Amino acid sequence: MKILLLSHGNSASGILDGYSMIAGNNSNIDYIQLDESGISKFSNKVTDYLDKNNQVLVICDIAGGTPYNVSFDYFLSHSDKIRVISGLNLPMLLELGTSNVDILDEAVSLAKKAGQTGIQIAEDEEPDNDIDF
Amino acid sequence: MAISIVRVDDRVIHGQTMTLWTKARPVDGILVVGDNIAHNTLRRKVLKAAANELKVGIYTVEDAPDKIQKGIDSKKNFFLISDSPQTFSQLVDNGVDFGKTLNVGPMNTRPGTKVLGRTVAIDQKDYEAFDNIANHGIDVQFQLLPDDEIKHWSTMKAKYDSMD
Repeated sequence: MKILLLSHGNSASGILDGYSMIAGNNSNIDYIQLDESGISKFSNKVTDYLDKNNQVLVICDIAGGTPYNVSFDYFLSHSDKIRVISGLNLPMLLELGTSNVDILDEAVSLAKKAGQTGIQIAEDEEPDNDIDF
Repeated sequence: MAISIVRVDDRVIHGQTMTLWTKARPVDGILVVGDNIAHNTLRRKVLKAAANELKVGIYTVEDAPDKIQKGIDSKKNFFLISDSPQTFSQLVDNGVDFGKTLNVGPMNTRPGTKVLGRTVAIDQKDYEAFDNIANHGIDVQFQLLPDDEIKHWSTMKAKYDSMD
């Protein structure tokens, strides 16, 4: 299974850079970014990538944006080989990239869970020290 | 035994610990040993937060032997981590048996250290601590991430000795 990150601007490569710093390189993760060169060029690159790879989890930065819409369009005719999710964040990518999950629907559930639980609110609490042996 | 890894890591609990080591080894809780950490409330708070849903116990060298034994006897699995090899050397001197392997993760550059690898810098006190631990029959394995190649103390020691 491949993971393809899609973003407006450089957030996809930036998050992958953070991933590599913590977990090392992962040859199964790629990215394509929408930049000034335009939507049609971006769209072609994405379609080309998806045509060449089987079983791809596409992670977009935001639902309803161009990267999402382009991959969603592809998904509608290729639901056997890709899944599309939005809300790319580092905890999500770390969980996916370091687990050995290889089935698209399992990867989708894992991504959703990790992406959501990755949002934590710092609270200043007295630390307890009770370990339950 | 239910201590699934014994590790030196100067940041104790951080991203690599939580994303990689917790997948490579079974873990239900983390035992942290170090007088400096146990006496630093701010650091204790940060470590508890870093461990997410895993429970963390932070102990002085004096309190640790009892907790380590409980961890070993438990059906649950625990990581045993300190920020310094000197802590484990003290434990060994105090007769504590935490197993036959010590994993060594990041030890950053500090004044007086020699750099032995991308993530390992040790000073004379660390050197003596590793030597003492190894002399007690414990295999000291330098390995940052679970998939990284292991380097043993004998190799790192020779490197340290060869440096001015």
